[in-house]
Order: sequence, then C-alpha cells, then structure tokens
Amino acid sequence: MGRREELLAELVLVDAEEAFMAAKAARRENDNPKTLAAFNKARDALTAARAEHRANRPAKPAKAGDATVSPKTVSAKAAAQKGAG
Amino acid sequence: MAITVSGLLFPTWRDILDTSQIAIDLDLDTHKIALFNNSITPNYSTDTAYGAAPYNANEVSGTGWSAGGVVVTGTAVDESPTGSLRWDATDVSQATTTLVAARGGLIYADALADQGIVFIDFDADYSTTAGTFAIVWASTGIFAIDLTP
Repeated sequence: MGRREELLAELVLVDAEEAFMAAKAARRENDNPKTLAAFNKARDALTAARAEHRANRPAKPAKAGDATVSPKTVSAKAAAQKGAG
Repeated sequence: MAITVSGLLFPTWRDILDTSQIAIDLDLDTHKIALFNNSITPNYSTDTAYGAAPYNANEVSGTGWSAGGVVVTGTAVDESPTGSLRWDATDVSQATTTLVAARGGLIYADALADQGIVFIDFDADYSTTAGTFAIVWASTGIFAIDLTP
C-alpha cells in the first residue's frame, strides 16, 4: 500500500468515526427507528473502515521512547455445550 | 503475584444481567483504561472495580498519563463473527508519556462507580520515555463473547 492509499484509508476511518459518534449522539437524543437505522448504518461503516485500516496498516517504526501494545482479543464462550451432560 | 491472562470481570457481568441491573453502556465514550504493573494478580471471579483491590495499587502513571488512565473512545458493539458479540474501539494513542513497566490495562466505567469491565494482559512490560503509548486493538476487537450454540 502506497502512502497515498494509507492516507486515504486514514481519512475514511476518521470520517467513519466522526459519523458514528454523530449517529450515536443522535440516537441518544431521540431514540426512534430512524436514528436507530442511522446508528446501525454508521456503525457498520465504521466497522468496515476499521477492518480496512487495520488490514493495511503499515508497521510504523516506533521512535525511541515509544511503546505500542497489540493485545489479543479477550475471548469468552457463553454457549451451552452440545450433547449429553 | 502476576498478570497471566486477560479476562472479563465476572461480578460486573453478573450484575448487568441479574437483579442488580447495573447500567453498563458499552456505547459510552467515557470508559477509561488504567495501566498496572505485574505486581497485581487479577481474580476475574471477584474483582469488581477500579480503585478496589487489586486495582487500588501498583497503577502505572506518569508524565502524560494520569492515574485513572485515559478515555477509550469510538466504542462500538456489533456481531462479529456471526453469533459473537464484539466490543471494539478506537486505538489508544497517548503522546509524550513517560511510563514504566505497564503490564496490563483495566477498562472500567468511569461514569458508573468505576465498575470494571475487562482486564487486558499485555503479555510483556511496556515503557515509554517522552514517547507515545499506543494500544492497537486487534481486528477482532477488545473482547468477543461467543454466543453460538
């Protein structure tokens, strides 16, 4: 991915985050089917933008003194097990 | 005494679902992440909140990162993969920090009595010197609860 594409992906992500925050605020202000639909749409767009950004994120060389943590997702299993108990 | 694994804080999740009905809103953008060193030992069956043991000592703070931590923004709950509840947020990036040996982070509800939500094991000590402390969440989110049968 070139620098231009990286910057575009970053912009798409920032726009998606701002749109989601606005949709979230609108939903809190007035919870109705319209704001819910807009919220869900903005959330899905943000999820897609995040996935794109994370998949193509360049490994930034950390400056001396920086630290970057990349934790794994905390996983939990809430489902009932199949079969005889 | 050590951090060996990440986990969801059971008392909080019980109280969300039972008679207590505590109002943890994962869409809020006021939850915080506080850092701790490897001298604490989380107990996911009994740990309750930031400021209560073991999260009442051994906190990592310093220049650019106050005790109590920083806000986690851009929080979103969705389904991913199918049948799993995923919680995600904007990556944390705090510039110009000087921190020593952060080994894990507690995300807690700053707006709801500091109720603990999830503790994340960093698997190693991370320090900064007038640098950026960043947490890059996995594409699969901060946590995921698999609800599939």
